[in-house]
Amino acid sequence: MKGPHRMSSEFNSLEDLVFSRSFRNWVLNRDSSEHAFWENWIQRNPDKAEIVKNAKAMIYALHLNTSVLPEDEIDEEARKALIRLKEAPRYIPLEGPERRGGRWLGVLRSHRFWILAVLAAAIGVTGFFYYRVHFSRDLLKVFRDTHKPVREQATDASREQTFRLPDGSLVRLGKNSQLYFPQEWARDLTRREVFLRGEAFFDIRRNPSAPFYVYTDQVITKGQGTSWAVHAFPMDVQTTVTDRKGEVSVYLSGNPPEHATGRNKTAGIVLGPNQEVVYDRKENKLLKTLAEEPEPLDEAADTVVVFQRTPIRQIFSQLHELYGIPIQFDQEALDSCLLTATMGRQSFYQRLDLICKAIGGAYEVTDGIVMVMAVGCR
Amino acid sequence: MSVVNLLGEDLLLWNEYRSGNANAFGALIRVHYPDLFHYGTRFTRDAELVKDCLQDLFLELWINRETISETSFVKYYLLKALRRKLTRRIGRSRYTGSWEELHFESVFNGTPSVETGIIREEGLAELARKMRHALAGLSKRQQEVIYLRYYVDADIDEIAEIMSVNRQSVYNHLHDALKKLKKSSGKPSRFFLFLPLL
Repeated sequence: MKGPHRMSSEFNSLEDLVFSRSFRNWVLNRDSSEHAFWENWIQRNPDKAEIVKNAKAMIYALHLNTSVLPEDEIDEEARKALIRLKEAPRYIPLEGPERRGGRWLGVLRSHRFWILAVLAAAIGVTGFFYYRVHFSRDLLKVFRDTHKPVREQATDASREQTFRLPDGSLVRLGKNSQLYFPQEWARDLTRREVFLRGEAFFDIRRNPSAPFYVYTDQVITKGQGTSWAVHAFPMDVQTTVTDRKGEVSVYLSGNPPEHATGRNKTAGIVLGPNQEVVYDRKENKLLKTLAEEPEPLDEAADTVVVFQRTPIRQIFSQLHELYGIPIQFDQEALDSCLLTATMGRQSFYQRLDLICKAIGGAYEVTDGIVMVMAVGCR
Repeated sequence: MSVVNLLGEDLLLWNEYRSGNANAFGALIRVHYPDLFHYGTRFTRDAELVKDCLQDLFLELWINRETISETSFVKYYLLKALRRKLTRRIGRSRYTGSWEELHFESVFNGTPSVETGIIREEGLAELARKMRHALAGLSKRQQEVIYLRYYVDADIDEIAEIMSVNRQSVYNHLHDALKKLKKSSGKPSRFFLFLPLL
């Protein structure tokens, strides 16, 4: 099938030549023993001149300056391996089907192999979900064990529920959700802790000596006297925490705040109003962004504003005050921009769109901050 | 890379190793180390990690020597085993199910390494440069297939085995890659109607 000793008549195509050891030797190493053969072959096959040229070019292109490991380093590695053998245990399992070795080629083509593979995949998938459900139970179990006795408040698919926790904090529990919390809340608590499956909005009563923690299977949210929403259904792709007021910190469940010391101290993400954290399950990472629908900090605030030849700078700062969202823009470039507009019912994003349109710019949300890009006004 | 025609010798060493001959095993390591190392470092710049994986691989091979079968594809067997190990190690450090996503680092960047001075033939250097460019533009998988075909001298079945994919997809990768390379030479290829006869 391969190897250097082909009959000359077999070299019909470009790849026949390129993948021939013999041809390659001749190209890269003119005085090789194959020299005569190839000179002769080319003379006898003038119709192949174009193929030969391309094959040569391809070989040059494929050729690498392979950084060859020095001989003594290879010796060293081989020696190391042999030393390890002597201390080796009797038996450790090889990874997977490698043991079957020489039969793989046949095995791959057999029907039995594929049936087994499908079965194995099915078991694997089931196992994965079992593991996920099981694993997520564990966190709740830990919570239950540390907070005996635990109360459970649950909702079904038909309606939400609003209630107060023993500390006076308000919870609005969404549909199909469960909230677990300790039966008793001592006066001298150092931390108030609840566990959530599903979605809920929290309005926390201020208590600086006992921060409030919302645990879910993926993320932990910590705040003091603030309000925020958590959306964390066990089988859902996305877990989000949306801050509505004040400041909250969000951590990965695998990396709780008490573990965050020294170099890991940045493991949590701090959110301001209308900022949101999305937990990326695939990457096991937290991404900071903005709420889908930012709400004014003060619900009673008059959101109707009229701008008359108002400097852009002022408009942005007003927008910031209204929603608490940081807005970055090039002060210098937009210094002289004036805008006349009336804004009433528009959402935060509609307002941004309006302003950007007026100045001929654009914006993007990066890391929970609005960045306005504009070179000046039109 | 070493042009080895060690099939016979390889088999001999392999069988000796399986019967517990440590010297033969040492020789086996010695023979295959360069190719294994080079292939391994296509997936990570961390040479130490590759060496580590190889050490683990050798150890496992030794411990399980009695249950390992005879194979005439020693090199491919080793390459496959290394690839699996690397997938796990690299995959594990980045977490989760990105099992198959080993990143084959392009080895084909830059200018052709053979000094252009040697390429005397007219237009050849230019052609080689174009092809090099096309090579760098191939997908990781295509590059890996080409690499295994060219450097390791593996045929389609063997490549499929090493990469743990099916024969057809190797065939497609190779076919598409070669098509792109030919296209890069600028001429429509009535010369190249033949598919690789592997």
